[in-house]
Amino acid sequence: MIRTTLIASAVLLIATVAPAEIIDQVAVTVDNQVITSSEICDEIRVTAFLNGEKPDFSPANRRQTAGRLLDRLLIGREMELTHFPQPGREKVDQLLKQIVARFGTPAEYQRALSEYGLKQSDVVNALLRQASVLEFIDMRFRPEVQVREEDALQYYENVFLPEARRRGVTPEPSFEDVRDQCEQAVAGQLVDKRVDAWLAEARGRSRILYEEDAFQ
Amino acid sequence: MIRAGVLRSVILFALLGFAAANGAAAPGDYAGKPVQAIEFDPEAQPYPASYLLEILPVKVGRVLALTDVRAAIQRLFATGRYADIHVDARMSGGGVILRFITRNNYFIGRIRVRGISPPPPEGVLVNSSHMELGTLFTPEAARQAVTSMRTILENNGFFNSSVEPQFYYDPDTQQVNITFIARTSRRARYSLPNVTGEPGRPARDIVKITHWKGWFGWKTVTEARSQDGVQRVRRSYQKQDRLEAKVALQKMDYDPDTNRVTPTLNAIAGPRIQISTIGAKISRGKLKQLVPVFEEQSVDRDLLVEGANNIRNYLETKGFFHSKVSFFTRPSGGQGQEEIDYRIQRGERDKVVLVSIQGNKYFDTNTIRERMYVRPASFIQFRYGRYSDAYLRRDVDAITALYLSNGFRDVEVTSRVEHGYRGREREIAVFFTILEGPQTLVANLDLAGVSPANRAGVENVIESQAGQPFSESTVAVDRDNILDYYYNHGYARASFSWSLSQGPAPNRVNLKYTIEEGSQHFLRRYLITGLDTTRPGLVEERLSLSPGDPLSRSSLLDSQRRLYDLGIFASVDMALQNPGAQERDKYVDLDLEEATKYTITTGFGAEIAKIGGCQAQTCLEAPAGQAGFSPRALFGVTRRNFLGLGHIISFQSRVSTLQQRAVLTYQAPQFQGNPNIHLLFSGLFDDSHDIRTFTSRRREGSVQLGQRVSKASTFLYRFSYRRVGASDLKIGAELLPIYSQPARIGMASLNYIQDRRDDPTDSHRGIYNTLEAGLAGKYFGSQADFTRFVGHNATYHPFGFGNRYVLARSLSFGWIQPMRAGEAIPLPETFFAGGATSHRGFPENQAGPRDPFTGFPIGGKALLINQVEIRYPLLGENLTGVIFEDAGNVYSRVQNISLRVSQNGVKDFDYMVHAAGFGIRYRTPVGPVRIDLGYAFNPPQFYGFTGSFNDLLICSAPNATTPCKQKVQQLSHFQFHFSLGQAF
Repeated sequence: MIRTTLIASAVLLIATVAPAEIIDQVAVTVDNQVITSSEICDEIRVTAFLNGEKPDFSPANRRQTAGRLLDRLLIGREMELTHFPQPGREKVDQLLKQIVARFGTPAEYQRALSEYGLKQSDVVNALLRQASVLEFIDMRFRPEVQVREEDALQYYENVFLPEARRRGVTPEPSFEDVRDQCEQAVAGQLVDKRVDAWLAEARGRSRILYEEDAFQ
Repeated sequence: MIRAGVLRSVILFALLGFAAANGAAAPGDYAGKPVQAIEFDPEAQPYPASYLLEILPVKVGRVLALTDVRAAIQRLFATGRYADIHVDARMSGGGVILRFITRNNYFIGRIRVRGISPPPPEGVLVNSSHMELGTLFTPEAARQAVTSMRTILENNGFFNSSVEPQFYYDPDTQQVNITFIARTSRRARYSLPNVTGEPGRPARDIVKITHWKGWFGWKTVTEARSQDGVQRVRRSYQKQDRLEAKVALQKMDYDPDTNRVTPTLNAIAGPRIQISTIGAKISRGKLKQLVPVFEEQSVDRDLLVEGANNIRNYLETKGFFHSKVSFFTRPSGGQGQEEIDYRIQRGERDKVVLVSIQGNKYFDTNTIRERMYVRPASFIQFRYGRYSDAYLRRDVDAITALYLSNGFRDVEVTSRVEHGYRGREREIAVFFTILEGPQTLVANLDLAGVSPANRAGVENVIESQAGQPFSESTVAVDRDNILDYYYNHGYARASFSWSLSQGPAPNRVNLKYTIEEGSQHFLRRYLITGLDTTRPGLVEERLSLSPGDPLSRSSLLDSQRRLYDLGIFASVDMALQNPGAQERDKYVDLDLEEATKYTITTGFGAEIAKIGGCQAQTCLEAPAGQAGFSPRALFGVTRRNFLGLGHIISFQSRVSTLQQRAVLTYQAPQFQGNPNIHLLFSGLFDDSHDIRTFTSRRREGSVQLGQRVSKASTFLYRFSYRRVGASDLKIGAELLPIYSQPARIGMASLNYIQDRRDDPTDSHRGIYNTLEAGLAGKYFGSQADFTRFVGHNATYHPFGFGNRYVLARSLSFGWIQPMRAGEAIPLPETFFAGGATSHRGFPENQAGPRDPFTGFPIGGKALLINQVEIRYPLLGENLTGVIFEDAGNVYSRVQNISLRVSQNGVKDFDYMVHAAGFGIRYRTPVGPVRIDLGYAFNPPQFYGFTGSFNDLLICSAPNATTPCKQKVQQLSHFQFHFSLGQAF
C-alpha cells in the first residue's frame, strides 16, 4: 500500500515538476510583426529539402535564415500594400513535378518529406511564396533597370567567355549570338542591386530587433 | 516505515522521468496532444484572460498544432502591447498545458522638463525630445532625447548642464510619463567673436551689428539672440546691395574657466549688385517684391528671368499690356561690383473696355465671372481694367475646371484679345468662348466592399449618384466624404478606389467605388494627464466618446475643441496610444497643459466726435454738441479656471473724461458641462456723460443664462437689478424734479439673437436679427413699472460683378411702455440714438425729443431707424466705399411714430430725419476702420437757451412770470463719424 502510494506520489511529482519546454518564441520583431523560432526552423527544413541538403540548425544558419525571412516579410508588406496578385498554381505545380521527379517515385518523395518533418503543403506553400516574390521583384524593379550595351559586352568578356572556355564550348559564341543572355544576366544583377538597396531602406524604416536568446 | 529499496526506486524513477521530460521531448512531441489549459505569465496581462483566450488560435480542449502556437504569438504581438513572447508547454496527464510568458511594451505619456529658466521654453525642449504622445517607448529614444535637450541647452548658454530622465511607469495602462530634470549652472556670455571668410568690412563693424554686446558688456547667450545676430549681419549686407552675401555661425567655443562663448562667424560679402530699371520707374520696395534675387539672396539667370516676368505682369496690371522687359548685367565701377538693369519698354497704356463670355449655357455669366481675374475697367478700383497673359491663362483654366467638375468632359475654353476695339486705338476687348460639349452623367453607381451596417451611411454622403453629372472632382469629394464617414465610425484604415466604364448610352458612365473598410476600433478608455488644479470631472464632461464607442475622428476633434473652448488650457494634445497596432479597443491619450491663470490687460485710447462742449450743469451752451476729444484708459484682470471648475472671474474698467466704468463678472462657460449654456453674474458701476443732457449713474447687478439652441440662434434669459440716476440735468425746472430722482429698476428680460452673417465684423451675406423683451415691475423690486421691447433686423445681399458689391439694410424698432399712464421713465432708461453706429444724420445720442427750454436731448419712448447702404470695392482688396441712406428718429412715444419728413414747429421732434452720405472702409484684422460723412436733409430745429442756469430755473418754473430767453438752433446738416467696424 505504501509502495503504491509512493509510486503514485512520484508520478504526481513528476507531473508537477515536469519542466516546461519552450516550444516557440519571438526571434525577430519587425515593428508589430514577428518571426518566430519555429518559422525559422520550418524555413531551414524546407530549404534543405528543396536543395537536397541536410538541415542545419546551427545558430549561424538560424540567424542567416532569419535575415532571409525578414527580407521576405518586408517584401510581403510591400506586396500587400500594392495589392500584388498571387501567382497562378500552374507554375508551382510544374516546379513541384520537377521536385517529385528528383526522388524517382512518389513514395520516395513522401519518405523524404517525412524525414525532413515536412508535409506536401509546406513544400507547395514555399514554392508559392518563392514564385510570388520573384514575380513581384520582376514587376516592381525590372522596369527601373536599363542595360547599357557596354555593360552587356563587359559581362560577355569577363564572365560569359571565361565560363564557356572553362566548359570547353567550341566554337566560342560571338557576342551577338548571346547578347540576350548577357543582357538578361546584367539586368538580373542590376535588379538584385536595386532590391538590396530597397531592402536596406525598408529595414532602415522599420524597428527591427533580434531576440538573442532565440539564436543560442 | 518506508523501505529503503522502494524509496531508492521511486527517486530513480522520478529522476529518470525528469530526464526524459527535460531532454528528449521536442516541440513536435506536443503536437497532436489535447490542450488541457492555457496559462499566462505574468497573470496580469494587457487584456483580460477571457478576451485573450477568445482571440488566440490555440484553444483548450483542441489538439495542439504548432502552427497555431506560432499564429498565437503573431496575433498577440500584432496588438503592439508585447515586447517579447515565449510559449512553453508541459505534459499533464494525457494532454498539454501551454504557458504564454510575456513582457510588455510601454508607451509614451506626458513629457515634462523641470529645472529650466527660459529660454529655452519648456515646449521647445519637449519638442526636441521627438517623443510623441502614445507611441512606443524605447530606452534609446530617451537617450536621444537627453542628447537633443543638452544641445538646445548649450545653444542657450547652459554648457555645464545635465539632463536626467525620471520614468513613472503605470503597468495597468502601459504608459510611461517622463520628467526630464535639467540642472544648469549660470548662463554663459558671449565674448569677442572671430570673424572669418571675406567679410569685406572691418570685423569690429560686424561684431557691432550682431548686438551681442550691450551697454553693460557682453550679453548672455540665447539661441534666439545668436540667430538674430546672424540675421542682422545678413540684412546689413543686403542694405549694401551685397545680394549674394553668405553669413553663417560656424561654431561656438566655450571656455569653462570664464563661462564665456566665442562665436565664429563666417561672412563672405560677395559683390555689390545694383538692380535698377531703365525706361520706367519702379520703386525700390516694389522691385524687391518683383525680383526674387532679394528674397533668395542669390543671383542667377532663372531668378532674373522670373523677375522680368513679374515686372511685365505688374505693368500689365497697370494697363501697359504691351510692355517688354529684358535685363542685362555688366560689371561696374570698382572691383566686385555688378549692375543689373531691367530695360522696360512700357508701350502705351490700354484700357480693357469689354470682357465678353460667349457660349455658356449651363452656367450663367455671373457664376463664371466670379472665378475670373480679367476685369473690364471700372470707375475707381480698376481704372484700366485688369489683364495680363498670366491672368488670361488662369481664367481659361478656371472656367475649364468649372465645367469639368460638372461633367463637361469635352469642354473647350478659348480666349481672344482684340486690340483697338471698335476702332479705338487704346481700347481692348477680351473674348472668352466656351464650347461646352455634352454633359456626362452617371448611369449607375456600384458600391463594393461596403458592409450592410455601413451601406446606408455611405450612400448618404455620395454625390455621384445615378443621373448626376460625372466629374473627377466630384469623385474626389465622394472619396473624402466616404473616408470621413469611415474615419468617424472607427475605421481608421479604410481605403477607397474607383473605376469607370462606358455606360448604356453615349455620355453615360458606370461608376464603381471599391472600399476596403479594414477593422473597426473602439475606445477603451481616456488616459488623462496634466491636470494640476483643474477638476477631472470638468474634462470628462467634455469628452464626446465613452468607452466602447467607435473611435470617431470627428468626435475626438470635437472633444479637443471643447476643451480648448474652456479657455483654461494652453495645449490639448490628443493621440491614440499604440497607434499602428491591430487592437480592437484603443486607449486615447489626452495630455493637457493648463494655461496661465491670470491675464492683465491695459490700454489707452481716445474718442473724437461731437462730444465736446462744457459738461457742467450750469453750462447750457451747445446742446447739439461740439467736436471734442476724450482720452481713455483701460485696465482689466482676468482669473481663469477659478477653483479648477473652468469658471472665469474678470474685472474690467474704463476711465475717460466721458465715462468711469467698472464691471466685475463671474462666468461659468459651458455650464454644467453643456457647451450650449453659459451662466454669467455681473456687477456694474458706471458714471457716464456721453449723453450731453445729464450724467448717468448706474449701479447694477445681473444674472444671465445664455442658451445656444442652434449654430445661429441664441436665447439670453436675464434678470437685472439696478439703481439708476441722473444728475447735472440741463433741463427746465418743470421736469427737473421728475428726472433727477434716482430709481431702482428690477427687470426680467428675454433676448433672442439670430446670426447668419458670413462675417460679423464685415458682413457680405446673411441675416442678423435680435429681439429683446423686458418687464420692469414691482414684483422684481422695481420702482418704475414699464415694458421694453427692442427689435433689430439686418440683411446683407451680395450682387454685381463677382458679387463684390453688397446691399446692406437694417431696421431697428424700440418701444418703452409705462404700465400706468403718465408714469415717468427714468432718463437713463429711455431711448437715445444717433451717431456712428446708429442714425448717421445725428451726432452721438442727439436724435429725438429735446427739452423745450434748453434744447438738450431727453430721449424718447419709441425708436424707429431704417438704414440702407451699398458697399463697393474702391482700391485694391482692402479699401472699400459705402453710400448710405439713414432714416428715422427717436420718438416721444410709440403712437407718435411718423414717416413725415417735415418738422411741424420747433418743438416737434416726432418726424423722420433722412440723411445720405458716403464713407470709406479700410480692412484691418480687427474689422474695418470707418469714416462716414452724412448729410441730413431735414435736421431738427429746436430752442436753445440763452442765459445762466439760475435764469433757466426761474423762467422755466411752473408759475414763472419771466419768459425764457431762447434762440432757435438747428443741428448741422453735415455729420462726420470715425469708428471701427461697419455701421451695422
